[in-house]
Amino acid sequence: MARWEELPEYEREYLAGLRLPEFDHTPWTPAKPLSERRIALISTAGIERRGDKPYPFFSGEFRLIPTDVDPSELVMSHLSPNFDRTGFQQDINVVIPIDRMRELEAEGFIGSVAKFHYAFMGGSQPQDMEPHVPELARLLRGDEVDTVLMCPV
Amino acid sequence: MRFQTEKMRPPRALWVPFELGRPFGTPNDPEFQTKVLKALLGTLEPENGPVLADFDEDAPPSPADTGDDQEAWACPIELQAPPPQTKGDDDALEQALLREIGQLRPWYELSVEQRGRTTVGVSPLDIEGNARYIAAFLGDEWPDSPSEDMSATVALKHAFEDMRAWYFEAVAAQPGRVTGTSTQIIDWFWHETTAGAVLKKLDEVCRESDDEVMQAFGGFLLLPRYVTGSVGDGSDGRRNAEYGDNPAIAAE
Repeated sequence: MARWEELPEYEREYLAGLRLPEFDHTPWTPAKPLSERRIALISTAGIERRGDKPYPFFSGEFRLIPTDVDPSELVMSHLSPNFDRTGFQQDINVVIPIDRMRELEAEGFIGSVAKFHYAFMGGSQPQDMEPHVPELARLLRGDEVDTVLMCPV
Repeated sequence: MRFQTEKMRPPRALWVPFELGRPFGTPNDPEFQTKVLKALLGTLEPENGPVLADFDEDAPPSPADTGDDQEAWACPIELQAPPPQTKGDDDALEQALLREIGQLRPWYELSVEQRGRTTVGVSPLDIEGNARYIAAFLGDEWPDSPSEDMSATVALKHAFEDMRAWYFEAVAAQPGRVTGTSTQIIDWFWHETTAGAVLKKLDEVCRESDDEVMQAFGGFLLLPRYVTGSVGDGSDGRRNAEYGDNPAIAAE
């Protein structure tokens, strides 16, 4: 329940105590029609394909999730014990809506879906993820992606 | 959290009111997931920003939770009460854990059959191997990592991940029952199973350990705050350690 007033006191205390990164400005790109966009998903749920190297503790590395991945290949190794797993166990789309994206592509609501989506282990510090971002940006450009949807858990 | 998004000011964002871990609302509800996704895509349309939109509609119950016998959620097997946790009964605890896994196995297999998938498989060990590996940390001599690719502590974390996933999937599978809310499953796992008793004991072992990584593991990576009901006093690194502030485990 991500409604603040419905969270237990200990959870509010925890979340209120987290340090957040601060940014001097908000980057901005001009709007363009959804039907012309090529979109990738980036999850911070610490998901990976079974057999991939599991995320080391607090690793800033990312993992590839092919858009045609078989859901039975996906596992989750996020460090935090503090968010629900049972939804993901029933249906990956409640965490990373790969099937919903394909449906929106098929009906022309969006231009196209990227060849790959990506996942980070969201308990890591942003500065530990940063060294991996240029590689991720290169992969996204190579796939002609112009839009990413960040899907935190 | 909305206040966190307000502070970080990303270019375009959608606030949703759902349980943490379910950003698109409800499993196996494509219609609702699409509604959330379209609202998210809608934040791409304004010409000026930052954009912070609200999706102020609660997630509908999961289709699995709306059966006629919704009130009847119960553990699918009668588990024996966890054995007493006194020093020296580690072998008995391990045997009880393996017996419990044997009792749950048909339900786990049914779950895999019904869902066509499992989220177990982070650890290189099978469920019995994971049980033995975790139980070995309750003894005086800790085991080596089962894999060259990871330290013994990371392997312990993955063994725990797999055991929890295995139990959660098993208990959700009883035919004629409902999946139960996540908190029901968490309560069952941590308070009614031998696995929960073993992991609580592991938590104590970690906290009493001289090993900084094990201390951190026990401090905030095993028991959820939902079970401890506390964030601790912050002095054990719990407040922010989940986010990589603890130098001991950042190096693992």
